[in-house]
This record gives sequence, structure tokens and C-alpha cells, in this order.
Amino acid sequence: MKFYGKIINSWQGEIVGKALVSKKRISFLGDVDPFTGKIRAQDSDIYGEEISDKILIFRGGRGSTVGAMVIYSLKKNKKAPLAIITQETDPVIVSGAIFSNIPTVSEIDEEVFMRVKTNDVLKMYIVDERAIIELR
Amino acid sequence: MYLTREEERMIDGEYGEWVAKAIRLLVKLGELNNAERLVEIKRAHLSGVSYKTVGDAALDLLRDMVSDGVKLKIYTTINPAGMDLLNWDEMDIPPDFAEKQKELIRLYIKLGAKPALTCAPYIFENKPDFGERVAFAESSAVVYVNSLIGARTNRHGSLDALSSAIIGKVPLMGLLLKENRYGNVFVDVNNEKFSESDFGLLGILVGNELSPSDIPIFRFKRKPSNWRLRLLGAALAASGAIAMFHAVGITPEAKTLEVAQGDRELEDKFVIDISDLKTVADTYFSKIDSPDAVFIGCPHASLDEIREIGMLLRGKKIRDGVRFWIFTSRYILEQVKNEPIYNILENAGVKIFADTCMVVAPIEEIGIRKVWTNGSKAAWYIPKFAGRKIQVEVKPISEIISMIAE
Repeated sequence: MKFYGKIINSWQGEIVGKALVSKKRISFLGDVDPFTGKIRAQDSDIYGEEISDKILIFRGGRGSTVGAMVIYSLKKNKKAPLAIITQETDPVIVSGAIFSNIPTVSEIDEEVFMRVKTNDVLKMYIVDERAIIELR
Repeated sequence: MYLTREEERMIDGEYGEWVAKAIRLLVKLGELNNAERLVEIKRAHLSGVSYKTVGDAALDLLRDMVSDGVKLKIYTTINPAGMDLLNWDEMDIPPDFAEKQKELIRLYIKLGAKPALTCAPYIFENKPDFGERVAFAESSAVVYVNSLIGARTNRHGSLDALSSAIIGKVPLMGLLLKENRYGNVFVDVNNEKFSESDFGLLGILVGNELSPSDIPIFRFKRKPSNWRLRLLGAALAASGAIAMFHAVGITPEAKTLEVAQGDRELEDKFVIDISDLKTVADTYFSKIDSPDAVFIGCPHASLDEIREIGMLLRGKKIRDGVRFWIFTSRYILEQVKNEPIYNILENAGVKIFADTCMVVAPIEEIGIRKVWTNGSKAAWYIPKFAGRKIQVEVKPISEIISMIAE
């Protein structure tokens, strides 16, 4: 099964990794611990999960513009997600992802939230300037 | 998006990794907003300076940029820090916080930023001209320069403003274009009985109702002073994401309602008088009988505002147990020190701090729990930052002084 999205920060070749899926929005400032990569927002549907090295799929951003800098800290601390996939395009996440060189996709098909479950293995690649997310 | 050859070389990394990141970010934001090209700017203003709000995340980023030799290309000022750099011990700031804060500012200076440490750089340190395109990040300053000066900026986040300062360019989009600067919501205000703090409550009310692309057009029954409109603008940008307003007959792009509206349809109309504002205060803010602190200066107090406070405090003394703090820029503090009003304020027990404010200083760590302020933006943010440990009530200065000074 394939899902399509818009490339926000590009990458080379294929990315293969495990999904971590939230149907909610994330403020990287506050909701995510920059030292452990754990979700610490108690109202999150992935509370307590580690985002590190996952393909992190979520609705979009919320809250502080400083979130961009927190994404950078996560990368420095080797706790950043492998890739970021969102439905809404949030400038805070766009800027954090570009500054931290994290492959990022937005405007992903809504269906992804129904079909992809946490820990599913996904493959991400680019064809004709479209991001393709493949569930195997 | 159209890119010059030089811009393409920047994207390809010929000018280093950080220039490449900066321009890639701005081009991406431009593409998302249908910008046709990048345009040069001469000045920027950055947010993300208080260690309380940006923490180790900013230290990490700025250390890397400085060690890679990044230099800002244009004149760039920065927002308030988490403390008065000269008198932080008088604010009871913890020493380990002070050390981190000083390092953060040193890093900004090494990048080439001017440490204005104010949210109101448009008064003196970084004042754009009418029609000038700039990249400002502090939300209250965004509203001010767009609305009251007629300069043109989009509502930048901390990293896209920083990127604009690195390459000296912004995507030509949004409020940089005249056709996007017309108002679409008419707000008719009977402000005959307004005190200054009511303008902030008005901002909270209207900001909550509107969406980020809305530009309200206010018509006031009586012309408010400039610093009252600053309280309005800061609150509009706190409860909402408003980046600009018009005030008919007052702001430079609103000689008349027709001029402010241009070819844009009026989509909504509000009629507001003082009774509507009571509901705002009851809904969002606390009621406090006896405060342990009075904070003035959100946005940073202007000379006019400080003079008005001085007049009200002439010959009076503030009750023991209440910290009465005014926050302003270093420049305005130096001006105040040259005026007779400074002695009146000092004798009354007022402390004036520069470089910081009640929102970005770690006030929850210094034992403050009950605050009176005339600024609705501060009242909006303080309880959120403090995990609701601090209660805030919005009151006009005249009422505050009559209740805590004699």
C-alpha cells in the first residue's frame, strides 16, 4: 500500500524504518523531552513513546515557535526521528527539520492514520518530486 | 520560485552549510506561500533569547553556528533576555540561570546581533521606515511595525527570522505585498470610558475571534495614545495570530475606512464597548485582592508610560511586601534616569529593570504568586509559563496605584 505526500525536506535514496503514529498535534517545546526523545505530554496518544529513529507520523504542530530549536537539540542529542511525516504544514516543524537535516513530508494522505500502525515497517522514497510512503 | 544564480549557489552549499540551510528554509516557506522570488532586506529582529523560553535548544544551535563562523548579513536586534544583565541579582535570578543566559547573549553577539534586548526595538534601536520590508519575529513588534509604522513584515518564527538575517533576504509574500494588507473585519469601539488596560482586553477579545489571515479595522470614538495602541496590538498577537491592524484616521494605511479596506470584502463586524471587556477579564484572568507583585512594561514601557506612572506616584510610597517593577529597554531606562521622574519612582519604591520582562524572566522561581499588571499579553502568558502557579489580574495603573500606594 502506498501513500503520497509533499516533500518538505528532501533526502537521497530509500529510508526504511518503524512507524510511530499519533493522530494529534505536537509542540516539540514541552511535549517532547529533548534529552531522551520521549513524548512527555500526558494528553498525547503516544505518551511515553520514544520518537528516536522512528518515522514519526502526526497531525501537525502546535504551540511555541521555539519547537524548531528543540528539533535541532534532538538531532544533536541523537534522539531525533528518522523522518517526519505530517498532514498539516507547520512552519515551526518545517524550519526545525530543514535546520536539522531531517527528511520531512507533509500533506500526507489522511488514510495513513487508518492504515499505518505504530511499529509497522515503512519505506520512503521520491518519484517525480512526490514523496511516496510504502507499507509492506 | 525564481532564483538568481547566486541564490542557487547558496542552496548548493557554496557559501557554507548554514547559508544553505537558511536559504533552503526561506525558499521552502516561499514556495508554500506562492512567493515568486526572494527580496533583499536591511534589518531583522529575532526572538528566542530568554534562556527560560529557549533553553539548551538555542544554546546547542547557536554554539554550532558560532563555531562554524556564521555571521549575520544585516543589522539585527534581539528580544529581551531572562534577566537584567546588570542587576539580575536584584531580581533574585538563580546564578546558574544567569550563567546560561549570559552565554546565550554572548553567542548572539558573536553572530553579529546587536543586544538591544527589547521587544520594542522600533522605538529606537531598530526602527524601520514606512513601506520598508523587514523580517521581525517578536509578535508584538510585528503588529507594531506593520500597523503603526506601515513597515512590512510577515509574522516570522525564531528560525526563519534568523535565516533571513543570515542571508539578508526574505520571500516576497504575505504582508510584504500591498494587496495583502487590506482589512477585512470592522471593529467599532466606543472607548470613551476605556482605561489603558482595557485596550489589552480588547486585543484579547478580538484576537480570539479572528483567524491568522484576518486584518481588523478598528474605529475608535476617541483617539487613543500610541502606547495604548501598543497594549492592544500585543494582546491581538497573543490570543490570536494577528500580524496587523488598522485604526481609522490613526494608523498610516488607514486614512479612511475605505482606504484601509481597499478592494477586500468586509467579512464581519463587531460593536464593542466597555461592558464586553468585563467578560474577557472574567473568562481569562484571575481576581486578586492583594498582589505580591505589580509588573508594568508588556510591551516594554515607553517614556510616556513611565512618565504617567511617575505623575501618579508623586509623593507616595508603595506598600511593603509588593514588588513594583517596570520593564523597559536599556535605552529608555537611561533616558528616564535623566528626568526628575526617576527620583519620584525610586522614592516610591519602584524598580526599573532593562533587558528583560515579566513574561520571559523566570518569575515563578523567585516566589511570586499573585500579579497585577496593565498588560494583557503578560496576563495571557505568565500563568501558562508558570504551570498555573501564578495568578494574574489586569488592572489600569491608576487603580493599582490607588490601592497599593499612599
